[in-house]
Amino acid sequence: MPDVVRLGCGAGFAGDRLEPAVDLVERGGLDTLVLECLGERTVSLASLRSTDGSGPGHDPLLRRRLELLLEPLARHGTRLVTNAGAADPVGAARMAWGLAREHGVAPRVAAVTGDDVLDRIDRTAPAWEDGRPLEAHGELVSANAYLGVDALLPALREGADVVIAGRAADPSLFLAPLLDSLGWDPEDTGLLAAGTLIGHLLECAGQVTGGYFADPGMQEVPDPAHLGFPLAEVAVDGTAVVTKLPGTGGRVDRRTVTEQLTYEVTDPTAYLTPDVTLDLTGVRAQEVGPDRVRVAGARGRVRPDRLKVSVGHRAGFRGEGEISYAGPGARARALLAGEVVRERLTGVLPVRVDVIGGADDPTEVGESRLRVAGLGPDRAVAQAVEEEVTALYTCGPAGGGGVRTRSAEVIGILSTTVGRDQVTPHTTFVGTETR
Amino acid sequence: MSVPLREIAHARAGDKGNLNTIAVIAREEHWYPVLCEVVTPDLVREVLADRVRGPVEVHRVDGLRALIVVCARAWDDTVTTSVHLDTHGKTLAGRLLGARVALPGGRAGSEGRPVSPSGR
Repeated sequence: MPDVVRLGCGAGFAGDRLEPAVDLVERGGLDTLVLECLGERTVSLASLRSTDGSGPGHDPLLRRRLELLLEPLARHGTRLVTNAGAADPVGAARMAWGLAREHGVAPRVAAVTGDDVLDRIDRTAPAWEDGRPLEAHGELVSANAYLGVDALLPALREGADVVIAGRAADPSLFLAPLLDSLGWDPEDTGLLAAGTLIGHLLECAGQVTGGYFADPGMQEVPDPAHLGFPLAEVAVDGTAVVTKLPGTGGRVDRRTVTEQLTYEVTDPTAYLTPDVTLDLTGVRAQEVGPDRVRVAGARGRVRPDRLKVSVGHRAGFRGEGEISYAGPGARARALLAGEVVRERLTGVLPVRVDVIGGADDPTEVGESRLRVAGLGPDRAVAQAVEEEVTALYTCGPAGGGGVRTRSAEVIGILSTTVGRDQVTPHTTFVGTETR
Repeated sequence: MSVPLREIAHARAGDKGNLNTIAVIAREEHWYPVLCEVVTPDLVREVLADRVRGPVEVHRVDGLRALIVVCARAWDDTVTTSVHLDTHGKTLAGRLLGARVALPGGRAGSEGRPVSPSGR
């Protein structure tokens, strides 16, 4: 077992930049690269895409990421772990295997499934968001449990070079390779907490290396157009140094690390994952060199009994429209336009009206943009918002221009839990039949 | 005297369903006790009144000199279903940093530290 494992994060959300991951693999000396590509709604949208045939059931950018990464990963002996399989990890794994062959490499590729629990959730259970039963929110289109390291470890232990999962807890994508590579005891809550903390720090990629931080005059970030993505040097005792590659943009300091340590934490004494209950209150972040921050002090308690589930439901259709006004009186004209649209849509759907920019003083020159949005039960109602904003061109106040409108179906996300006994993770190695 | 919160803290918002978390972090160690006094549920409710509904909690993380504000939006004001421009509520952190907060008892002057801009 090594004393230190180097773990990198090459994507922090589905739309993240592509090339920082390649740089991490080429120069980072990584044991494992993780790509975190699933937001709360991403699996639901992927599931709808594969149902209606409009696109892949996995992350649509995964192909491009793999085309860039598979050859360098194989050359450096770096493993890949990702949740980009979304609603179709097996399909994504088959694609990865095919792409690998095209690039002249032959990784062992595994898919991890079992997160889909749509047929076994309790539809009468209250949604966390509003306490009403899940089934009271309209048609449920997906339900995915957050898998933990117990689902991901079998693939790694059987020698997978590429592991493609669907819904898994973000920190678990990092904790699993740490457990495997450092030989940690999966029952040791202290180490589970330490590894979960590291995963939590890395999971949003550039958000710990100076992305989402620049504030001119207050917080300067060098070369943000070439932001380096993070890697952690993780010691066998669970302490870690978070850093980035030399020559990349961004910064890693106590402030960027603290913003990410506390990100999306609702209770610092109990950050819940499928693997552990993490207590952040003893964590310290210490600058130990340029762009190097050491983190330590995570404490752990036993994992939650049940697994969190994200449930997608059909929530209606949203219509939006925008139009600009400029010059003296721009704000008053935009406000009037908003009132016109609101009156025209009375009895059709309630709308939100925003006027952005411009001056209240009509003698001042300014520019204002009206934006109207409403959520209705069907497509026609959403389109009515588009139609009424568009009609402002000739029927609204003077001088409007630059109309943009759109409408689309909305998939809402609700949260609930499922018993661990209802979730059966499964590992599928693909392509082995022709190896 | 009062200053914008941004002078003594930086902040980042995250979202979970209809909850927003806003971490408010002291730019310098000596500002942390001030943050603990001025960043109250009442302040958050007042500054973010058009978006925040229901209870607001403020958790202390002393070791990181950070406060974690947890506030609920309307149940249907979530990243996918919201009719707001910023469906995540991520811009709430910037708005909270614009709140003017009172610095207690001439703290900055007596310690000879500049009030603005600090943090580097």
